[in-house]
Amino acid sequence: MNNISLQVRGTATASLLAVMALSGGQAYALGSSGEARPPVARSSSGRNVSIVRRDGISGTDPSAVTGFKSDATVSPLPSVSDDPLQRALGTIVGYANLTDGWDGPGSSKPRGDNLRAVAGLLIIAHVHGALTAPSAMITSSGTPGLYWDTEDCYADIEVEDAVSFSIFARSKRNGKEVFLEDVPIGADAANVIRNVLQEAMA
Amino acid sequence: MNACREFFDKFGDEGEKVKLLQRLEDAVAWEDLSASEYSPGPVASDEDLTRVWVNPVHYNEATRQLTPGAIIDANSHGMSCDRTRFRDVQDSLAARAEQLQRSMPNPAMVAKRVCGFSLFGVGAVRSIQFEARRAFGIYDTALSFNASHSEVCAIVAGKHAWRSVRSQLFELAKASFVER
Repeated sequence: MNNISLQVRGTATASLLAVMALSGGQAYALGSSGEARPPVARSSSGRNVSIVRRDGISGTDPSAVTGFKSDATVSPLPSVSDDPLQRALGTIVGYANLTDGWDGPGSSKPRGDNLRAVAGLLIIAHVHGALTAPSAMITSSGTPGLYWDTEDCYADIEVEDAVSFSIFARSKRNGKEVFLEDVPIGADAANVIRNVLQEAMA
Repeated sequence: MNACREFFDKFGDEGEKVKLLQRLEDAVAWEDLSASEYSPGPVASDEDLTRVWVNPVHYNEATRQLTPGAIIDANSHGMSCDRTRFRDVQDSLAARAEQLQRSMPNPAMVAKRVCGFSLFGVGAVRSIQFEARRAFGIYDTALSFNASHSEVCAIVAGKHAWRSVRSQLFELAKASFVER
């Protein structure tokens, strides 16, 4: 499965963190976004587009361009742990603080049972499936999910009803895709996830 | 008034506008029509679009990249972009920052900030397909205060279709993403 496989580590710590965090609603702090990239962008059309300011202000200071400090208070805030599993769990915990309208008009806060389910899937995939810990994500409709994004493969999981999930995987080498929905969140979930990733990469 | 403009005038702010668009057979043909009274003309395939990303929840601190969740607008009310032909990147960034400053949310909400931007080649977005069908339509939804405004809308329906085309648009968004 190429670079999606990984040694399992921190199992007990991660599981404990998941339970504690999602029941306690703890918030996490967002660190500085670090150095800005060079002020030239390449469009997907292949053209370079200059983003050098015409008034001479340095393009490397985000606040100079946006009017906002990069360390401005932001809540809820994803975790900045170095451990991928803890980082993903911390991010999911942060989602619990979202309120309706968090991503603009019509956006919704996530349901607590969906967040617990996606945290469970994260542990299932990582610990029982021995897969690299995915990253967490959420859509503006409040649907939490997980995703893997490697050189060879993209895959994502979304949890809409707390008891089942959908999974999509796409090979970046040949475009082969696999999609399953209404997959029960149970003992066999790790196998399903592994099989979908393997099938897409085959 | 053409049918395209009539549609966007009627459903411009609707959260489910894109779902309605997916039911129409004319979605691709409408790209050649003006969608707004302020339109400087339909969006050509050799243009570039700037998308300014403002929600830190959709930014992955570890990878310093967007998350796929950032792309959702393209399947709901349309992913707003500026045409670089009519507004340069710096002006797009400044305008979005000013807009955020004017509408600072209440303290309980996520404090938005400009996280970065992506540049999409219109031709590249239009080349994305799902099962041999065009995945996205790009419309010149110019506004009275922003003639460069355009929208990227998914025009294929269904969960598998959306996950597929989202992953492909996500690739383009990441490839040109510039963190701010």
